[in-house]
Amino acid sequence: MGLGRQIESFLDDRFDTETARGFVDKQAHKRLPPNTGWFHVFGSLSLLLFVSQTITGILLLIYYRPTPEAAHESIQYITAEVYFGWLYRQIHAWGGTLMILAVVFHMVRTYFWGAYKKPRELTWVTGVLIFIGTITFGFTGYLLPWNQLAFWATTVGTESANKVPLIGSWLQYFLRGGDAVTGETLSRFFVVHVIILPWLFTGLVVVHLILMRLNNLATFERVGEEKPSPPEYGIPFFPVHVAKEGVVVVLLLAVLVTLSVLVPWEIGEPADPLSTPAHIKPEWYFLPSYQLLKYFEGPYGAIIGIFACSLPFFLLFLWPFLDRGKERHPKRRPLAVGFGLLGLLGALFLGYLGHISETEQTFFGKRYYIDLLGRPNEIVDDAGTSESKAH
Amino acid sequence: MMDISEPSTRRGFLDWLIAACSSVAGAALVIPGLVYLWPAAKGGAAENVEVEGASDMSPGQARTIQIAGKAVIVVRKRSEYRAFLAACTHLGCLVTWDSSRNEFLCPCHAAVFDENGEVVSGPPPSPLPRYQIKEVGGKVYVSAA
Amino acid sequence: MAIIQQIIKTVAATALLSHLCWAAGEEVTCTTCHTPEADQLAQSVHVAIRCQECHKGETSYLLSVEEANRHTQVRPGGGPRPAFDHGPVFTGKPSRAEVPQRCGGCHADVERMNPYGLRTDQLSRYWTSNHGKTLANKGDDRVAVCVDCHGEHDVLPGHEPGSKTHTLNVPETCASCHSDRALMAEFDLSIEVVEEYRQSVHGRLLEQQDTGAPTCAACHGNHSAMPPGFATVGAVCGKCHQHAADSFAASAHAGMEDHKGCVQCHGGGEGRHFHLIERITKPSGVLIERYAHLLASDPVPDSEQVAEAIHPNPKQIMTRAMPLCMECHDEIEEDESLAKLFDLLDAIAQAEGRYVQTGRRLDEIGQGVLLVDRQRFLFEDAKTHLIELAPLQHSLDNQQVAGKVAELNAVCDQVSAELDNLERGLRWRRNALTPIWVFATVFAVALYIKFKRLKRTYVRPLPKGHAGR
Repeated sequence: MGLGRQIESFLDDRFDTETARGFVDKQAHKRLPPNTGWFHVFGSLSLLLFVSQTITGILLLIYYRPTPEAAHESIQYITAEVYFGWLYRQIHAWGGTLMILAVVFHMVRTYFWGAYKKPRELTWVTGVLIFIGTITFGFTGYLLPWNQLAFWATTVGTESANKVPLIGSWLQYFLRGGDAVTGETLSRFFVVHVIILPWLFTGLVVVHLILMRLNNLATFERVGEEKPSPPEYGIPFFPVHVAKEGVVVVLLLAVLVTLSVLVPWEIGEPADPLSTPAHIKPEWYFLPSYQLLKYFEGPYGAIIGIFACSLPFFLLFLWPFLDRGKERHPKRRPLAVGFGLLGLLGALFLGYLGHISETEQTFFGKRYYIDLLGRPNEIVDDAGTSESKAH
Repeated sequence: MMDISEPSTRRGFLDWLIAACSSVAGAALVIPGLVYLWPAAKGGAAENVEVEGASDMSPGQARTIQIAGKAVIVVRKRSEYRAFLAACTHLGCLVTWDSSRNEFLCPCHAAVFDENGEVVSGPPPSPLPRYQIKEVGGKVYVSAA
Repeated sequence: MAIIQQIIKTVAATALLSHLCWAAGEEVTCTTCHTPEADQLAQSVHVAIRCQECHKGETSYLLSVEEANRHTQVRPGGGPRPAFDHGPVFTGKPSRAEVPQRCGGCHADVERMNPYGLRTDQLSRYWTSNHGKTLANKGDDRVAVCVDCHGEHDVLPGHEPGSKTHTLNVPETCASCHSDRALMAEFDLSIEVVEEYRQSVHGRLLEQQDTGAPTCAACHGNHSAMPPGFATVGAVCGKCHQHAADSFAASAHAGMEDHKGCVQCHGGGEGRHFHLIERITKPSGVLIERYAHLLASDPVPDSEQVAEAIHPNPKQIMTRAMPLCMECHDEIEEDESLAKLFDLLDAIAQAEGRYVQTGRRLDEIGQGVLLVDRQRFLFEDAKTHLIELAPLQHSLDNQQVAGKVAELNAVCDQVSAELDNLERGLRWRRNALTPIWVFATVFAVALYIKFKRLKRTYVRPLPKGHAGR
């Protein structure tokens, strides 16, 4: 009798392995709908990246020290001294960025495929929570290297919390753990990033996955008129879909390593609360909100600005309940598709404006200074007045 | 199930290739992770570490210093210095110097070493490892043997 | 005691006068008429000094209202106010020749200066200066006296930026006489000296607000201003350039009868007034740049190739030094030890080129993802060696200099080697990407084929027109 058989009989004597085996088999070989295509991989990619972030995060935790005095130096140590430390730091940093991208693509796919509609509204809502969680991961993790960019981006980021009506100043004080970004802030962000969020996030992901499994993937059939297709048309999760995802996973890992080697995240100067570097901007995924907030000034403007920034998130939460049309196929629901495209392009445009604001850009052979609000001002070279015109 | 009409050798090769690639990829993911865990800290050089204020030590006095993270006990015998690893070879407690008896004492299990680090009594299985001493221009340097 | 008596007398006189003033008319003090001077005094270091201490005379005068107005108020038709008799004690404005003694009345008085912690030898020093000697021996009062450098009523302490004796202002203060053509002609002195100083290595440093740079006074002294002779110039320069002075003292040049010491080579300028102090043996920036450029090329050329690429004749490198040496040495070609020295100077230029190139590389790499803190720390040693090299050359001791050059090169070599090592690691990472992608492609393609086959095996194609399609 082999060792495997021995273990099997040991377990058999103790609980009903048949049920457990049946459950695992059923889940593993569950047939996905026939229209499951290459666009459906972003969900699993997000999950894979979350796992990768967890593993690399735990590895980084071994050497990282979350105090203002030691944080930057420990990152330097990880990068310069620890074997493969540079690799895990880079993969963690790039993994975070790619994870946000993967989650966004996954949401975009779900939106245009109409997959959020009944009966999958709750899957969508947990998905939106996961999206917010991912962004919070990014925001809290960005501070941890305690370099100049991180310190000041966090200062600016928490500053905008002040604009929230009524509780703004309290909220800011709470987020920072004081009046300014200090070691207290670092501790808070650290705890949120490595303890609170990971567990919350894991719970959300589990619920999201269970809901997804219970309802299976959506097809393009109209809501309430889905006909269960014969099983032989469906795609078994294992081994067929897994093989497909394997292709993407292999390529993703190669891309991660390539980005880590060729476009490394710099360690930067250690944080200095007494000198602000020029052109502080948040990470790319905050740029649309960052830019949008700029257009609202004054006490009422600030409230409207915060409202305008949170509106897309409210819309995301409520969307499955607002859009109650029966159609799923994008061709048959032009309004929702148009609205989605508009939102997406708007976010892209605002993000781009945020990216180029307060820089010099060349369009069609002419140089422009893009001001705070994203308005281009042509730079005239010949006269000394060009500078004053530019500002 | 549809019938498969493929030459089994091609299928066999593909499966073999995938298995090989998976093993390589798995190794490539796991091995760097294990290497990463291996301590990179050098903890400073274990060579020619200066004994601060050695010249102020009076004969018969001892001082415990850190060399590469390890406790090293330096004893002055008249004009000569000696250095030993301070960790008792029994269970690693730090020994102290008894100048009146010219012996090292271990506080944990009453082990006694003589001034050469040899075991006099008690449970230690081996003498205290000795460190090299170098005196240059009035300064005393200790190096791991 | 004398002072106390004086004070009692003054107080008594003041009280008496003010009492009389009530009875007979208006009380007039110095400041009533001499307002500008009083204002200047109030802003100066002498704010606590009263007019009488330098000019003697009364502290106030009792005049009838008409009399006071006659002297103090501007007359309706203009014209000068009538002269005022300050009384018998009043000494008035001292003549230029009297100034040193007048100032020295207090400043050479140890008891008087004690509370201020000021030295009191300025006056005696002044009499040892060329200024003081000319005044004392020839009675020529066109020389500088105290007020020319310190001001009259507006004297400020030397550490105040507005003071004429502040380090940054000293050349300007000296220039007020020493650049005056008419005045200097009378003493047969050059008017170029200050301008030469300004162009010199010291003057350029001062120009950059470097208060550590020596001004006129650093070499000539201030109160005892006197040009150092050739025999003593080494001692003057050696106050700051100690290592150069030591090395020079050990060299063959030291103690030669007609060798002018430091200024023999370093002092230049119109008619050789030696104020255009300049470094000379330092290789030119262009040359160092060329070396740095050459040493950055890959592979690094050997010394012969370098020599060939830069200058067929190594002696050309010391363009400034050559003519200077030729003033005394006729045939450099035949002088073997001199030829060796020039080879050495070339080696110094090379080493400095390597230093520049290594530093540049350090900065470049440090801006990326690699940490070079350790290497930066090591490189500090190279800077020390480089700075030590310059004074060492004065010893003319080839062996010593070559040793120092070797030390400098050794540090640069070590730093370069460590940087190479770091960069090799980075290159290794980049090179590893190729096999990683080959592997990933093979793996992905294999999985894709497998996926296609599995799909064919497990999944039945949907019939046309199926809703799920």
